[in-house]
Amino acid sequence: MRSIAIVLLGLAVAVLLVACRGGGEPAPQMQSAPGQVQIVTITAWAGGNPQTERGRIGMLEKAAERLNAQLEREGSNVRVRVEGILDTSGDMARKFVLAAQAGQAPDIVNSSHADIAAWAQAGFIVPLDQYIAKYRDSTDLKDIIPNLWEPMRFRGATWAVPQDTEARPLYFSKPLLRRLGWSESDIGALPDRIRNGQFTLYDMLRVAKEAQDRGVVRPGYGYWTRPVFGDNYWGGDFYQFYVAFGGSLWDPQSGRLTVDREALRKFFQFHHDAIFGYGVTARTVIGGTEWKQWHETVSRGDQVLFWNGGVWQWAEWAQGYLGGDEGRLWDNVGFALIPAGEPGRRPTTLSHPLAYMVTSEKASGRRNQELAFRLIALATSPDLNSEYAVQSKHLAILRTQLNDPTYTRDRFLAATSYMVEHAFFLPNNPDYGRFDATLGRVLLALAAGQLNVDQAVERAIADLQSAVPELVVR
Amino acid sequence: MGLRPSRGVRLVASGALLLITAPLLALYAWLPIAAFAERTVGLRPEGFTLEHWRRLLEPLGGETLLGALARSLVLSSLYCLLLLAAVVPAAYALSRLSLPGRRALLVLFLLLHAFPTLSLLVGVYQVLRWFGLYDSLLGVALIKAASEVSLGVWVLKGFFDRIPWEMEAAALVDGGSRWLAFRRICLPLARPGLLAVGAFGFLSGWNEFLLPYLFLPSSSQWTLPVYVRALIADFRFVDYGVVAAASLIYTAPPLALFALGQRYLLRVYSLGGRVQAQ
Amino acid sequence: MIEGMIEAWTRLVAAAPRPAALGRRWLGPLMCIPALALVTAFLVAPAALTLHISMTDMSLSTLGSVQWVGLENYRRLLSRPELPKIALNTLLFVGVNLVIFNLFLPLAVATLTAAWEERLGRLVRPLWLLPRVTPSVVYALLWVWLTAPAPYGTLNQLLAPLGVGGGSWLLSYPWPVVIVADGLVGTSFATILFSAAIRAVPRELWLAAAADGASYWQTFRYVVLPLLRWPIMFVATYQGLSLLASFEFVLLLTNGGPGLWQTEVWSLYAYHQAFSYYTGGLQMGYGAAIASLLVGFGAVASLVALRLFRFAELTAEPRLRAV
Repeated sequence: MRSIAIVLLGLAVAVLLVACRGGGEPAPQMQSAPGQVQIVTITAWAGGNPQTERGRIGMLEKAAERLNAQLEREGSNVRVRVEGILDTSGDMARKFVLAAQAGQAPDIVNSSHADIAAWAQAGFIVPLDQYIAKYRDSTDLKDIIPNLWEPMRFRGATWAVPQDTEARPLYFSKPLLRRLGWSESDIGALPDRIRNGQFTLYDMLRVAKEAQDRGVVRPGYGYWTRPVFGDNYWGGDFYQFYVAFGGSLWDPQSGRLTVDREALRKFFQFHHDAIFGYGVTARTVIGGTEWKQWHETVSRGDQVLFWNGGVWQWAEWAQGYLGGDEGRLWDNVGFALIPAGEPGRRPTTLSHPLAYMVTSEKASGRRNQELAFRLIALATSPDLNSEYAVQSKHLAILRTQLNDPTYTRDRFLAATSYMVEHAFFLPNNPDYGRFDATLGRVLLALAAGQLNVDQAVERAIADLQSAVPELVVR
Repeated sequence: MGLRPSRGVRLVASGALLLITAPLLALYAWLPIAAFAERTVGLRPEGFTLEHWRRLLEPLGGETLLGALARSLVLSSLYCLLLLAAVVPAAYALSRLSLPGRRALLVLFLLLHAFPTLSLLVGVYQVLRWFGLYDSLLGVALIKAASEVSLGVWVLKGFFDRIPWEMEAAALVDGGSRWLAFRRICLPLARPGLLAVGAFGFLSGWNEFLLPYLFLPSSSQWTLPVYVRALIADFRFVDYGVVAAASLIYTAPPLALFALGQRYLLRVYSLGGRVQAQ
Repeated sequence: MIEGMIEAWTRLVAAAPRPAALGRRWLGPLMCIPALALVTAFLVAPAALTLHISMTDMSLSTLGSVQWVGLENYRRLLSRPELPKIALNTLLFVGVNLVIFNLFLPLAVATLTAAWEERLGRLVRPLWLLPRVTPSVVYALLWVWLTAPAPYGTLNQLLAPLGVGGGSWLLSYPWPVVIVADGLVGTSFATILFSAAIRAVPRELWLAAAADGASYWQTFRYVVLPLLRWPIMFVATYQGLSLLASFEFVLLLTNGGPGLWQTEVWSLYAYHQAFSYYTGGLQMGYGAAIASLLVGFGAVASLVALRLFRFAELTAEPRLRAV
């Protein structure tokens, strides 16, 4: 009797499982309802902050309504339904690769443009040129800011549609500058001085040191970089300083990654000076600080004098850490480009667009590519994108957005949009990930005091050459 | 001289033990406190609130706490069943049947412990892909069961070893087959062992974090530990109250199981009485 | 005399008519099939695959065109400058954890509670078992809170009157925190084992030693400890292997940091290289090589241990044979 009970229980569990195995099976292509309409489910993945960046999925959902209206007008009996997931773990890229290899990727994936190279090479995403040509004129795709198509290209084809873009400013604390003796007009003029190349990185270090020496800030709180803890290193923000000294990460013509020895040396020297020479950057920032701690400290606006972050963090601070009080941010925090490394160079900032990609049949097991593309094209409209941009403090991707009142009314976006003119993009090269990880290890070792600047330069070049066979060293 | 050392030594040692145990208390005391306090400064609560519990009902990444809870239950039960189904017959056979290659099998099961699943994740991923079990609870349950078979076999073998031969022989004399003797006599007699391994298995499945984290990526497949981890990383919950509340729910079943089944768990750890002064 | 009775029974049973049920020779292997199938498909196959992949260049940038590279990954691994640090970390982690938290402490606690103070044992034992039954995610969170910087951390709160501390203990002293946290989980296992073994020491031995005039400590050292040899060696081997392969708590507490490779142990290094997207490039081939070396080392260590502990005694044939 008992054994029968056990067998029944086992069967019940098995049935439950088959029902539960949601992610394991590709969603049914079509469910024919009584009548004529066929519903196609389009799955989409994006990563981001659930408070501010929900729109990455939301835009697709709203676009589905518009697409269905279009399909109806065309007399088609197909309708779409979006099943989107906003991944908050930070591991979306890895999940995507593992899923794609197993043939279970979603139809649409939203990720960094820097992922295009590896994913295209592995055959996980499809080139979009034919779809763009077909739908360009009938949608807002024609209004995408032209230079934003550059980071979407790899080996002569276009692989993604820009979804948002940003800039990464140098933030500074107004109350602390005031305490240092700066006048309101000094503070107001700082962003312009940086923009004209009159205030360099070392000027910043000097001001930070002065603030520390005079007790205006605690030691180590003069200048904060992006936080690194254990394994969450991502080099983009740091390499702004390499570019600020005239370095470049790749040669877009040949597609090969490059490293400039002199700029690399100055890049390492700058960070070494910040941590050890001037002592304005606490060692634990690069190596022992988690995001939450970092956000909490800098968003208060009166703890750290200078720090570099991203424009979208303005939204995160306002909504997540200051309870919706954006006014406090305006009172306490100022922003500017990343200053030039030395006199005679230009200020800079990194712009890191995220993009929608369409997955291949090999990766998703489905054949919804064209429908998925149409969805993306309709999601790329001025009203939808502006709403998202204002909510998350990302910058415009369409020329027509610059006339959209929703967008232009936003004070912060208006004040930061000039930065895109000075921006550079990360390489589209499948080895860039390894390049980043390798260079990052050396930087972390330098920051931990395990290498001096000369050693760091030699180590970096040697390691990079072995990690990236086609590297160009200049 | 005697069966115990001097009073003084015992007193000092007891004191030392209590001293090292105190941090454990401090460690665990925080959990219930934080779940009901608006904010905690160390162990001191500031403000009483049920807000955290209310927020737990909101979906996170499209999934709710209840969903994750249900899936944890399913995973643990499935894993437990799979483990028992594989381990019970094998343990019996190795304990009481004459088996060609018996010694080799025993050595194999012992050596398998040197192949920890955690180190073979690269290969595990490929196998799951091959069977079409990536992103499925069944896949994770199978992997986990395979990794704990060796311990299970050894523990249960210990229980079977202690069953007196006479009882089994009695069944055989009455004309039954070996299989019948197994089912009617040995299995009931080994019930403490079965319960022990079952409880241990359920607990192990409930606590499993890394395999679901890596191989159950869809939030629609999340189990509780992955859900709790996502809570910790979530930007919305700057304070730990919500996380503490979720953790309480998550930790409750193991603690309950432990409180009720302490005896059985202890038997597992003493390897079914295998351990004897030799 | 018992033996004689069993012999008699056996002969009796052997003579009894057998029903035509499952052939007795097949029953044994048949009953082992589920376990063997499970293990072959989901443990042995992954092991073989991991070894195979370790000799390819599988990584994020080669997914479309993975190639065989032989021992290249191993060569690369052995020339990494961080390898000595990682090996040292692993030695430190496994060694200290094993000796203090899996041998010394359990022995002390077992002796104290099993042999000296029973009531204390019943009070303390459940608390010590808590770390083992707590889910790892929650346990790590508890430790993060305990060691958090002022004003949040419990430790800082308790030590404030003494004027000590204030920062994050986890970030300032990552190794001690990680080892203690991980150690406490394993302590309960060994404690129970040792308690059972100590209690199994026949009372006569104690009395005999006492009669001979031995002090408590002499008895313990020369009579009891030798009898505990098997449990001690078992714990050392079993827990040693477990510690070698485990990285879950290190992952949850420090993720190998803070800083460069500070708490990165071998098994975590393998995981990071194979499964980290941005900082590892999903280098599955390289990660598999790192893991294979670890598994190989573990297997060899197991074999040596088996030899040492005279495993033969454990696999004694059962008394029933003829049926």
